Amino acid sequence: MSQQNRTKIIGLISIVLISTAATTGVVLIRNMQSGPGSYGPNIVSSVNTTTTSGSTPVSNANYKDGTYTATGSFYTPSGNEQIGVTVTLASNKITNVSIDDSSIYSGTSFAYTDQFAHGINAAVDGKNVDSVNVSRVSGASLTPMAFNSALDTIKNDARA
Amino acid sequence: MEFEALGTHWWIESPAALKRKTDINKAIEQVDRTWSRFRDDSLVAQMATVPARYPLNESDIDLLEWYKSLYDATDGLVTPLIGQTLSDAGYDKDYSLQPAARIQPTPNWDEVIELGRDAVTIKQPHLIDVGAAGKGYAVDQVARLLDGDFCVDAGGDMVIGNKAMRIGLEDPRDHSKLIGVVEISNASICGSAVNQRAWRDWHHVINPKTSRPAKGILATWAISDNAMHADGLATALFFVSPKQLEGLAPLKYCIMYDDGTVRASADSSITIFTEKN
Repeated sequence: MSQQNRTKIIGLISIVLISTAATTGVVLIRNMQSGPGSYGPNIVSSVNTTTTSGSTPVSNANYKDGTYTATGSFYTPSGNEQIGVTVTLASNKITNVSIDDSSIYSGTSFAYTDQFAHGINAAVDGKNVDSVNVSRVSGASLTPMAFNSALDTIKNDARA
Repeated sequence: MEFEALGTHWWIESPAALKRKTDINKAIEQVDRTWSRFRDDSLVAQMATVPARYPLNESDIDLLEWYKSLYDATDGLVTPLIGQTLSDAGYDKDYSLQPAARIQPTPNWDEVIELGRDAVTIKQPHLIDVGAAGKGYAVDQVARLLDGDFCVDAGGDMVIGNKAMRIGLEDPRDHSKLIGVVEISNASICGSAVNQRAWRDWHHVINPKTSRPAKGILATWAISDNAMHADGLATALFFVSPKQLEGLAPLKYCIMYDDGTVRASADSSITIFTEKN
């Protein structure tokens, strides 16, 4: 994930966290759309506070010191990806931010980064197999019979 | 000659194939008896229950060494230890296709495997699956029995001999179409697509770190010097960029993303049919 996107996500999640700090058990949902045509963060976050509290949030008020975690979600063409953020507040300041972006660097979203990074690709315009002179075809057209019959069983069960 | 084996359809074109029929069947049976997780009498079935030192022949050691190279190059995303995860997801030996309530995480290489020169020590029992490179490995065991002009094709994973052949790249979205053609000789091409072995919200190329199917890519093809390499590289391309695989084995590739766009090696032997041409 690009550095700007990481910063954006942290920034947005931090805003969400600060506005709900010092409240226990609050689940806050915010939808923030990024600009059209981009796959920037579309933040849906839930906040779990790890401290107990007494006061209700008021703007400009004191925020209770503590460590807060939140899960941010951003949009990719095949669905939402998750990113975890941990923020530490002390004396109304963020003193530490860490993100758990293992899902991004574990290959879940690399395909998109990879794809966009190379400024590819022409869309494919397939040709009918009969119109092309080939000796063999490489694909995955042949699924084992056992697999197919298992699929059929499931479909039949689902109908029952 | 044509037959069913290892869960797919084999097609062998070679003047010598009929003469070598017995050896070909033996070679395939040897691979199946060692590496199949679909039979109870295989070595893999034993490794899934008994921690021990298992002597292996040289080609089987080569297969595990190749897996280690892929494992290291992909930061563990290609791993033979994905077997239990696959099975939990439903792709088990009975083809139940029912995901378990809990999908077991995939252990690290060193937690299970200690690879020696003529044996593998399984430190703690675990279900191994060699689907990522195993079919290619099997194709190689057959191909090495043939020479001259030949083609061994196991469900789209193939080795081609001296005589160059034009191989169509099947459109995974429409099997009556090709998305391109490659021309190869003395090489192997292996293809992988995720919309064939798919059930519920799963397909069979699983990311061991998320325990969920790999996303974003619909199909990959890899061309390499042999089928074990091509098959493993085609799998790896679901998880890492081709650049990350440089140096492991010769590689030319084609990747089709979810949105139908294609990225391929810029090589004269590869033609992709795009809207521009």
